[in-house]
Amino acid sequence: MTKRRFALAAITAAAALAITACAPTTSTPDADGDSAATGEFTYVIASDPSSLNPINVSDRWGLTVTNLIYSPLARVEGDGTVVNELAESIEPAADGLSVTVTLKDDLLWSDGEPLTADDVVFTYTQKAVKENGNADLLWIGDQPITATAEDEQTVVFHLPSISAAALSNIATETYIIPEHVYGDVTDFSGAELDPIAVGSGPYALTEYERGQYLTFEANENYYGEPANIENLTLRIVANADTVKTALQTGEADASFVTADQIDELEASGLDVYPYAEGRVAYLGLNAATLTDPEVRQAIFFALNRDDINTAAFLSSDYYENAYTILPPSNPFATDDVETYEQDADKSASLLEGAGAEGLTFTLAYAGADPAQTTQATLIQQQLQDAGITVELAGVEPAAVYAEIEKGADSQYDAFLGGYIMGQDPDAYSLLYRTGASANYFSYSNPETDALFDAGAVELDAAARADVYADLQAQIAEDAVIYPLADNLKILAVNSRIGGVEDARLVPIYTLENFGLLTEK
Amino acid sequence: MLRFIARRLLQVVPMLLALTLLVFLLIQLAPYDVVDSITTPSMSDETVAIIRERYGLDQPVLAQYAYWLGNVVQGDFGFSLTSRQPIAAELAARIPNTIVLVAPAYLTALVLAVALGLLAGSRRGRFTDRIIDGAAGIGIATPSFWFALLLIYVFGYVLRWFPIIGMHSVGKQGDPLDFLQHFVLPFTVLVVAFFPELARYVRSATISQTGEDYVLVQRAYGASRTRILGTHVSRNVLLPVVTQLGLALPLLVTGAIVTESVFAWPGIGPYFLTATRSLDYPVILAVLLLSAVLVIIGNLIADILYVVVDPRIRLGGAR
Repeated sequence: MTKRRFALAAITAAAALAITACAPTTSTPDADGDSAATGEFTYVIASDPSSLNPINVSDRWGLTVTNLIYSPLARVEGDGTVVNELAESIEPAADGLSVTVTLKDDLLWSDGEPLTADDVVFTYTQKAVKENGNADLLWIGDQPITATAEDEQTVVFHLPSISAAALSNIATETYIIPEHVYGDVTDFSGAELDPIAVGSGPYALTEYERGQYLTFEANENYYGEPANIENLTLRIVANADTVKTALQTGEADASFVTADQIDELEASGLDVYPYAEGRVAYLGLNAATLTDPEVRQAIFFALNRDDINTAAFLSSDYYENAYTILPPSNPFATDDVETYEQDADKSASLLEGAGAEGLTFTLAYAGADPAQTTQATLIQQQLQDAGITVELAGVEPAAVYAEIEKGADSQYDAFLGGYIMGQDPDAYSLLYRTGASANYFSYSNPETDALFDAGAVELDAAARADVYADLQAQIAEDAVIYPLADNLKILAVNSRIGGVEDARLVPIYTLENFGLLTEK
Repeated sequence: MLRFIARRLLQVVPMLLALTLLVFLLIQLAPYDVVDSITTPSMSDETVAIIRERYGLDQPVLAQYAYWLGNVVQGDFGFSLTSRQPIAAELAARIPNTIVLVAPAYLTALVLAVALGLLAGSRRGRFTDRIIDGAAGIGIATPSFWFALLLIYVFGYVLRWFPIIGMHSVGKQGDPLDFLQHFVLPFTVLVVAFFPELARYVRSATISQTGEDYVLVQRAYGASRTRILGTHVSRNVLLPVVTQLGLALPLLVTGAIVTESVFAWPGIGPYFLTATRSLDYPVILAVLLLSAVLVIIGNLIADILYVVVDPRIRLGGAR
């Protein structure tokens, strides 16, 4: 009986495999022959947005939705140039203590009301309230940046002290909300505004079914070109395999995918767009437990960056090597730092000099992340060849950061991480300044702090670039971070959809303006 | 009877207290909390502290638990710490979606299991039995996420018969045909997931019943096999199945966590999984509380049904 049952199981399994094997690989997403324009675009996101409130939103999908419904005064492109949105012009004062923003003519909210300087002042005032949970960018030291409306179309921002970062950032990343709708709201710390549907972006929200989808239609009062595709849906699907098949069948039009899915998706006729998000994936060391810089340098000299990156991100098409704390696409990034090319002899002599032969340490990483698992295993292997023993701890990402922040008391000596901190190099002070909130490395060097101070108030562009070049070299020398790569984000799009280049692939928000997508 | 029910319900209270406290303490043992899972590097320490304070996470552990308990007793499940949405409303929206999927699947599996289990049990060792028992064996050994992906691949991708995302197409809420198209695949996965154990249960009950004297007597009287099976054996087999029905009650909430996640079915599954990953403890506790209550009520219903279907059994109240 047991034998028979086994045979049955074998037959069923074989049948399943046979069905799998004879699957077509050449069918296209629109194989149904439905190639006519539908006026619909379905984009798959991985989870519900954590917040739909532009005042405090900070998660990827929340920001994606915010960018559809609302508009900022301006935004910063990947190369560092500023593109005006609601703003007609942005004029920093010569003394660096104020910025005057003039709004475009005839701006309207999606409900038809005029968008004025009062709305801008209202938004910035609420965002600067610390209790609302997202005020950090609007404070310099212990003073907030304030805004006043000069007239219907002119807003002046006042800086309490000189800040190059604030000067270049003030008009960006803040999405303006309408005062005539939310003027009576007293608490903006919630995750949703009520109602959530009045904005000035290319689309207006029509329905939100929690856990299922958000639907949008083109905002007829949008100040820019009206959206080409009338209806947009963000569909929430968590399972990556389901997403892949939905892209192949055309049930979904676009989604982020992983490098290992690309061949199959391209075979199914999808277009694939890899692009840089300005992320830095890195190996971080805990300077509070690995206190000797020479030991840390020895660890770095024993590693081979190319091997680790190729293994984790599959092909150099999908990553770019990173050598400093800034992603390679950042305009301030420099090559002029110690890059720690693999050098076994140097590593050995540094270890010997520090009296740290037979070093053992613990490396924490996100156990559910295939890329980090690969990186961790390779690092362990490469360091083993150098006589360093690495114990691996694969845990939840939040647990990695929560534990490593304990510094000397942490059970981890090293960790794998990644950050996207944007264009302005001052933002990186949150990671590397002594005692900063996200200084996971327990790193402290007064010279680095001084360079951050100098860079923050340097208004001359060239001089500022020099300061940050020195800063990158200093941190590289101190060997608390071994930058691995800017691993690219990969967007797969149904071939019936065009205009991806015009809509512009950007960090976090996926596309700068979904309204510029077209149906072929 | 009423006293019996009341007493049983009262026993529930300490059990629920112990359960929620245990789960709460286990969550506290984790090396991070929900705020760690939502902070980004660009948030200052001050901002993080403000958020933590707002959620009461700066309070002592037992104070947090007492606060949570106080609200629950007043019928307030609180709100999710990651999405900041009221949990009761989320549950109210999602539980019906789960029930709509799980209940028909379970009933179908049960009917199939009773029919095939009786058939297999009565033909023990014969070809039919081996097929049915073998299929049940494979069913038990098949992880439902894998089977779900296989169905998605074959019927969603290769054949293009069914959509694979969600409960209905966008804009087609209330369209029964559209719903059925979305329903078929996850329904099939769940039937296959529920069927095997039930079938084996019925089969082994049938085998033990057919060895009883009364079956022999019926045979001696010349009763047909169908008659023996249909009117005599099935009654005795169905009695324990009634217990199963009661015990299946919690499945209505937590019976399809994996399947729902694979098909993006907007039920409790994806909600609970996300909350668990980010240690969103009010959500975890609310779902656990609900399923624990259902386990206990399910047991109670099973006991009561027992009395209803078999008058020989008396409740403890007469003691």
